[in-house]
Amino acid sequence: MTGRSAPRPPRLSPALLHLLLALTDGPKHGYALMLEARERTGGRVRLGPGSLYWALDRLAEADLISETVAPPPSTTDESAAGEERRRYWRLTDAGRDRLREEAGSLAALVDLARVRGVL
Amino acid sequence: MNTNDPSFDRAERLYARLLRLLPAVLRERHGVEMRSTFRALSQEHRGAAARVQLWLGILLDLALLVPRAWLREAMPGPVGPRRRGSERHPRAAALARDLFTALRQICRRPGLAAVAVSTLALGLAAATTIFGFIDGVLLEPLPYRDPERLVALFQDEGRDDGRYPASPAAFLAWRAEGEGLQQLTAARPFAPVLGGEQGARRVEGLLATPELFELLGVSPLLGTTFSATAEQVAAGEKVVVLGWALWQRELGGRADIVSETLRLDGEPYRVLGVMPKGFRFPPFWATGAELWAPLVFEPRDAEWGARFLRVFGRLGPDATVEAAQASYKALGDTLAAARPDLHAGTTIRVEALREPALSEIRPVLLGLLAAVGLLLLLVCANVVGLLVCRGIERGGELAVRAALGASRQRLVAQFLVEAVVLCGLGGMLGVSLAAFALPLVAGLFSSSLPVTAVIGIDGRTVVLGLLLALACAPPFALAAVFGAPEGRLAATLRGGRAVGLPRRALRSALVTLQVALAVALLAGAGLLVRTVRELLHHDPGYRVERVVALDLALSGSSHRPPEKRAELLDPLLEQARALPGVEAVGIVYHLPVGGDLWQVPFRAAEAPPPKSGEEEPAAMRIADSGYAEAIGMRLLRGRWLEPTDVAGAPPVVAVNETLARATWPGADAVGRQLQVADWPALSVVGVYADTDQGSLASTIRPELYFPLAQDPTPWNDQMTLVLRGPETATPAAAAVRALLTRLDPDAALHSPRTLVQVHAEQISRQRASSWLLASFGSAALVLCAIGLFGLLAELQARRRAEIGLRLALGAGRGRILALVTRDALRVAVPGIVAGLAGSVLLGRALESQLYGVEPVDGPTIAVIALLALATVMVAVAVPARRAAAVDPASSLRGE
Repeated sequence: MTGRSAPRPPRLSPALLHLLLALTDGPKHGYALMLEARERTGGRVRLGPGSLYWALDRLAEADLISETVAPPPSTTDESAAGEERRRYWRLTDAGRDRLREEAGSLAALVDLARVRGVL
Repeated sequence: MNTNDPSFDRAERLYARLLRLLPAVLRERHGVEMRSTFRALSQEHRGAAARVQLWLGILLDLALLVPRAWLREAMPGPVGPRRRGSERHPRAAALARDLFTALRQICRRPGLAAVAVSTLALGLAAATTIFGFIDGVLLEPLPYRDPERLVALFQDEGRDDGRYPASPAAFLAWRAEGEGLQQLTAARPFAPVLGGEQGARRVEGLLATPELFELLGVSPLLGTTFSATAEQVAAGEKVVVLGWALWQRELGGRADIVSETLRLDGEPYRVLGVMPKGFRFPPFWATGAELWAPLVFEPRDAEWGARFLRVFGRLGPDATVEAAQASYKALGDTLAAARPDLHAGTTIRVEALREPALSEIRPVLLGLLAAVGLLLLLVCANVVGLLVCRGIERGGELAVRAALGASRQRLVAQFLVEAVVLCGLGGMLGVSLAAFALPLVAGLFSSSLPVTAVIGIDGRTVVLGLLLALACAPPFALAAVFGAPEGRLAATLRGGRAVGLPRRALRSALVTLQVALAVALLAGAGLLVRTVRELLHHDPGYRVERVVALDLALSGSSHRPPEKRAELLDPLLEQARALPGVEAVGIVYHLPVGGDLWQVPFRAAEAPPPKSGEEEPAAMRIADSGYAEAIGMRLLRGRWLEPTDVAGAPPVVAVNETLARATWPGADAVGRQLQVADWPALSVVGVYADTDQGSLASTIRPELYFPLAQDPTPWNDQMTLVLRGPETATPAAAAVRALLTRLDPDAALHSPRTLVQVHAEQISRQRASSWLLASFGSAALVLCAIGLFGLLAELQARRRAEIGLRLALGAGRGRILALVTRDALRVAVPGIVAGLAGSVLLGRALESQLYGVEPVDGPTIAVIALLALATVMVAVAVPARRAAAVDPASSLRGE
């Protein structure tokens, strides 16, 4: 835990982490990502449409995700099926590495908290 | 799926419109997707409550996105996953992050933010309203050219406020010999009857020397003014300049009015021009003037010593009010030495034109400013208390951020940005509230405001309100930091929530301060409320209930000459007496309270004449035989004026008790001879109980009544009809007007009013002040009750374990209640004591507005102290009950 001096990019916010996590099982469109982040966190991470696309832009800019062609309709969730063409996003290799790194450092923090008796 | 529902369409269109707030690039890239996501969300949220929730979320989402998106647009380069060092504007980026975090903090605890913002908004609304009011009344320049160089001149007799009118003799001498002032202008009231198809109507105006419009430097809207036609004026042509409102109301706003002829008092006046909307002159004294006609003096007027003129002038180049005052004072001395019969006993007073209009309202406004300052201070103390609390609560979060390397400066900057956001929201809300409150406050004071006041929210007021709001931010940030100092971070991380003593002491001190401020404000309000009560129950020496006054103007009528008046007045009074509901009718000029006040010098006929300038003046009124009964005056000795006191009969006068006692101490005044001015000696026929004179409850002066038929001022053509019996003025006025029209269509009846209304207007200023102070005081009391409640609830929560232990060891519930109450009293009692001490100062500041109550008033203090204690008890009730209900076992297990 040397978050102070390392010249690495700063930590990702919980919302960004959850978006990356939601992409681990395949490409998804924005609305599906929003729903998944909300459900997985029991409503704690609630993104509005604005924050959602802003976050996706930031992740794409950092090469952690990229746009992809839509998978066949059968794999999409029913609510959006066939309605219109949506833009899909997938996790890049860099994104997967970054997610692993972030999760690892959080795990280290949790371990430390256990040792110190906080948890 | 109901996508064809029109409300969905409407919502989506609205959302699309909101998206236009975003930079175009972002909109092009994601606009379609954002709309389709919105559509999906709105299908998810059905029902009114869900819709509201959806929209709140959407608005918040955009509120967070829009500033970030534009910031990024302005400063390209990654802001999201940040690359330190590559940021071109690290400060701006840090600020943007802080702003974002601040908004998130506010969203995380919306309740607390709402309480802080609305408390602040309340204080700022009050402060902005009062400032806007003061700005419009005291700071707004008069609407004339270089208004700060305009002055008014008075003949100061060394009594009252020293603002006495000047005589034509004085004015002409000043104009001829004075130095340092230009365009010296004299004016006197002019209330002609305007004839026309709509019947005779009285209008208010001013006769002024032709320099008037040059002096004011205001151009007419239509036509010209009489400085441009000085020659015709000098040649005796009657001309008039109209005010905008009069032109609209009486003449239909016709553009071709210029050069037309109006009949004023039965004589033709050529209309020269119309002044622009909003033009009013003068700003004090004859403030209802709506038309201006020239006043021309002849050389022989230099010997005219009666004082009835108001004089105005403009400071010459390089002259100051002080220099002009000094030069005119010297001139006054010279004139008094040369012509003591005309000028002795007075000094010349020169002051800025706005002074006379503002001297009465200024102390009231400054008092309100002080009160609102106290309220704002209290509001700040309250919010500081809240934020200290919040700071304590956020200890954990701050500890994490500090551990991750955030410097103390960064944390303080974060708090500062949060405070600025809170204050900014409070400021905006407060200023918006003030925009609504300002007209209400102006309405409360309407009858005591100068006519030139322009009341409304303007840029200056808005800026001041917002600056005040921002000024609150640094202390708030400090409070929040103080709530969570670094030294306690470790303890906080471990979950120990103990609060350090100094912070608890600070919060207690803040609550004590709030109690003190609230008590002081309430005590001030209490004094004014008592003043209003005293004034309402004050006995003016005549009847107030069910008396109606109507002004009668004979100036345009054939019954104007004194010898012809009886032909009109006798049948008019007789028929009015026979009207249903009318018990008695009389005629007077001038009506005691709120009317004009003429003064004449007098002495006992047997006493030697006093030196010039040392005569005691008496208020002089003229009345008929029915007046005393109609208004309910009380006769003490002798008789009232009788119908037999006619023109040829021996001249008589009725005097008030003060005059009788001052002139013939210890003796009966009835039957004595009185010398008034230089008229023939008068027999005193009766002494009546003192009545109020110029204004309600003012000092009583000597006063005398002449019989109408022996009127020594035959030039006067305005009088007041007094009717006893009717409850309301308008129907009585209509009935009398019908009678009058039949008797004389050229006489005008105007200004119907009840004496109850006259009195209400008299006390309107005190009433308005007491309303405002009482509402400030009540708001203050509620706020400090909330502050105290918060403090006690927190103390009690922290002492849960202690209380549990005491209960377990056998302490009764009563003892626990006493414990919490003691906590409360320890905080509140010093506040109450300090507040009462402060109220003594406030009372002194309000002294000029008080009547019938001392600045330090025992009953008021007692009531306020009890009220404050009662409020404390209410604030204690819930925490105390909760404390007494603690279950010892569970509280100890919790520990």
